[in-house]
Amino acid sequence: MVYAYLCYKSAFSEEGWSRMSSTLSRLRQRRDALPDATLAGTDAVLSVSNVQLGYWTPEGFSLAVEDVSFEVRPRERIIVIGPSGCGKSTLLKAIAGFIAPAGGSIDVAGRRTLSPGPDRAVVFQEFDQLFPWRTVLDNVAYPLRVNRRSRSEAASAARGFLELAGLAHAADRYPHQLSGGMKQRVAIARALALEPAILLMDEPFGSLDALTRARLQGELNGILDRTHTTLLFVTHSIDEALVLGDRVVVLGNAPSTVQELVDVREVGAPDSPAYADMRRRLRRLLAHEGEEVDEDAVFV
Amino acid sequence: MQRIPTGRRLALVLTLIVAIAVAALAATVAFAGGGPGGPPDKLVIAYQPGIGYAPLIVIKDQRWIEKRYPGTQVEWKVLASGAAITDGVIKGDIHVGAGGVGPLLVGWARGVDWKYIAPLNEGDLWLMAKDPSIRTIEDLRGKRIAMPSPTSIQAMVLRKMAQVKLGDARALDRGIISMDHPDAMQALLTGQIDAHLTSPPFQFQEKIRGAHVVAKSYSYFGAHSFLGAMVTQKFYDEHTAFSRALYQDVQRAMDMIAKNPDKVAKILQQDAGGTPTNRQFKQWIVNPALKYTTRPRGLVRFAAFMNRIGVINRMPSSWRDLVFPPVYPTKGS
Amino acid sequence: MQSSSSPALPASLSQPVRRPRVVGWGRLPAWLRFSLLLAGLIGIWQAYVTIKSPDQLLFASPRDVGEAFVNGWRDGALASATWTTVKVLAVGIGIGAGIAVVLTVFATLTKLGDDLLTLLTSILNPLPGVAVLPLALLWFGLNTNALLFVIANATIWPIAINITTGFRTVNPTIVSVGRNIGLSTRRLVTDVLVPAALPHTISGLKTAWAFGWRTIIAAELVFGLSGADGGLGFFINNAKLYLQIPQVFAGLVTIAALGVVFETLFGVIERRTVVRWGMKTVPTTK
Repeated sequence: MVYAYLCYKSAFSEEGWSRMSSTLSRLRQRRDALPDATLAGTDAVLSVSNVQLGYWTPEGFSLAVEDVSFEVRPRERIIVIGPSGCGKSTLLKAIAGFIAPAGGSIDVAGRRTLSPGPDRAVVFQEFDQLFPWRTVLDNVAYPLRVNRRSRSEAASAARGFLELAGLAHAADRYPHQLSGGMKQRVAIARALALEPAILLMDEPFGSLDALTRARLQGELNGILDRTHTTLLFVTHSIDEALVLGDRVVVLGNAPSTVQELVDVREVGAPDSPAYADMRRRLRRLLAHEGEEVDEDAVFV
Repeated sequence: MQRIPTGRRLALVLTLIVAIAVAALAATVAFAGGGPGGPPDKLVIAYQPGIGYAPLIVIKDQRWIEKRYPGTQVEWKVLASGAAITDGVIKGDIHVGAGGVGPLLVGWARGVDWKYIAPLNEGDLWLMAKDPSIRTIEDLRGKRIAMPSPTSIQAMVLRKMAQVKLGDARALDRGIISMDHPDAMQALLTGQIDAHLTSPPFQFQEKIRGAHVVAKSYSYFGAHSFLGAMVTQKFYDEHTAFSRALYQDVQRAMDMIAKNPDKVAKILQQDAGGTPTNRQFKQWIVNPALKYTTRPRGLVRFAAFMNRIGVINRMPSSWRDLVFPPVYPTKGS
Repeated sequence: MQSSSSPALPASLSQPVRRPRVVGWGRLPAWLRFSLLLAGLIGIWQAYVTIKSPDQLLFASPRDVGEAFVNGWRDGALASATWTTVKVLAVGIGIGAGIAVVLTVFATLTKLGDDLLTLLTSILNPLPGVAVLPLALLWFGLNTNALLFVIANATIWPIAINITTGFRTVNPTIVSVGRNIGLSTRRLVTDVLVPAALPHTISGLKTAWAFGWRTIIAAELVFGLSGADGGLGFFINNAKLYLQIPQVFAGLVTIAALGVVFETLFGVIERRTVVRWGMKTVPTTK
């Protein structure tokens, strides 16, 4: 994390630095007004209670998620991981408000979520989540203008978040001129600029090459450290979960339930034995029934 | 397959070509028309709808051309407008075209080398309107007036009327709508257009059906020619005897109209497919507004007017420039 | 004896690669290449007229046409004819686009609308504008409204099809983003769907313009008033009636030139929007 921080520091200009600092200090004030993450969950940012999700098929109603419950406290980083097809993306969509739960309830900052909104900003997996007809800056500023900020306020806030994401120099480019990694950075900047109660990310680095992916994971950690944003991150990669997360929600096969809620904060560096243990443990949990498990297999 | 040596191949091809050429020549000679100056093997005569073309219809019905020149195939065509006839003559598809003084002069001035071989009639062209509020030329400002085309004799008459009554020949040009007579009559009677500058018999029919006369062309040009049959100089030179014969046939037809209108009315009725009636045709062909004569009148007067308003840029020095020799004795104008 | 140690190559590869013959031509700038080609074609035209001397009533030389063209613009005849035609076309396309948008919205929102649009399009799209003209003249009378009707009919369907396709093929992720940031349905349509469908919209407008342009010239030829109200189609017809063949050609040249102008305009619009945004690789016109 310190490494990531130093990378950032070296990339900034004086002006950029001051702009970013002002944005961050404002954010920090807001965040610090929230209760500490170590307090008990009465002030949970996200509360998922006995949620059931499914869809209609010609044969009838098919359950993807049977019964999932967990809570996310302020500033926490929750990773939702599970075997493919277990409904983790569906769960994220439900939290975001795109789907209504068939059963149970989802509350964000105390309010029942019924439809999508900027308090649960989403970063999708596809690169094409930016508006191609707007510049990078406008892609970040426009959602702010929609949410009642003035033109100038939106523009300067947007610049601040672009600085944060390391893209200040690309503000006037169009999305099609950016690489995949840069596009995802813009998407992150856009989501954060909305100052959501919780940031939702649906396998955002899944389409990137291994190197870029690793870089962005580090950058994301650095950004979140600064903005103190609460995170819910869906992935199928164990390593990603361990690098990014505080706690990991492991889902089972569909119709899924929560297999385990694992705290991974004390896991340490990737070359430590604690890391390897946790990795094996998660690998075992993720195996399908009856599957032969190579616990030491490395997949990103 | 054995390849035929080149020399022999060439000889074969040449023989083939010569044989075809001879055959073609023979065919041409075999089908040649009767005598020097006779009509071409295929003769196309085109005219427009209207009883003004009665002399031609009589000739068609009585088959005088076919009887005199049995080797010639005669095709009679009815076209919608003078422009179509002009096009046909330029292209060479039509040998004898019948149309008004307007297309004659416009074509002649632009280099279509044609003249009247036989003027067909003098005709008083009436400007008809149905709306009772349209009584004078002044009332026509901004109104829609139908006529065959902007280059028809009717259009020239309208411009003359405009010049005399409104001071500007082009004052009513905006309202000219090109329509052939039958369609325009329909449009006038149903109120889609405001006026129709037309010709016999349509003006008679419109009068019966409730329209009234706003103006007459004779009031502006005096008695004048209306229609005639045209051929090109080239045609006349190559088929002089036929052209003369045609002129005489037209005169014969006019005699028949004068002496035996009942018979002609019957011919016209049959040609028109049954309606209008026999009696109506007879009424129309004896009406003084239409006079069948091969004597041209007012050609130069029209030309002068058209030249003055810029429709044509060439003036005939006399009426004789616009007709062929058989017409000279009529002492026209 | 073996000729060489390398394996036998197919005949095309065993010959040395030849450089394209006209290397110099390809290097010239586009405007020069096309100007030279055009000059060459005109030269051939003039040569034909000089050598074969076709009947002046059938064919005109480039010089006469050029003269007629210049005079036509100078005395305003071509200018007013062009303006008349363009004006009617613009209004007609406007009406067509308006109706198309209504139909498209209906089609996008309801299945009934979708079916209706599909049915109407398959019946009415194939109708050439000029075929509808006699009926239009009967319904609307002998005035510009008949022309507008015909143009509208020619343009509604291409526009509607394209916009519908455009809306349908919008990336659903983008729509999700729009909902996520809190856009109301109205704003979602105007700020997300409409720009996302812009490539298709422009394509539809281009097709509509092409159909409309051809339709209006043809319709004017068939139906037109005399005098100052006529458009280009009427100008040509009128010139022909007066046997002014160079003017006929001049009218045709004007029509062609306007066609080029409008296509260039579309190209510019595309370059400024969809090409700039990377939503389309190259403009379809130079």
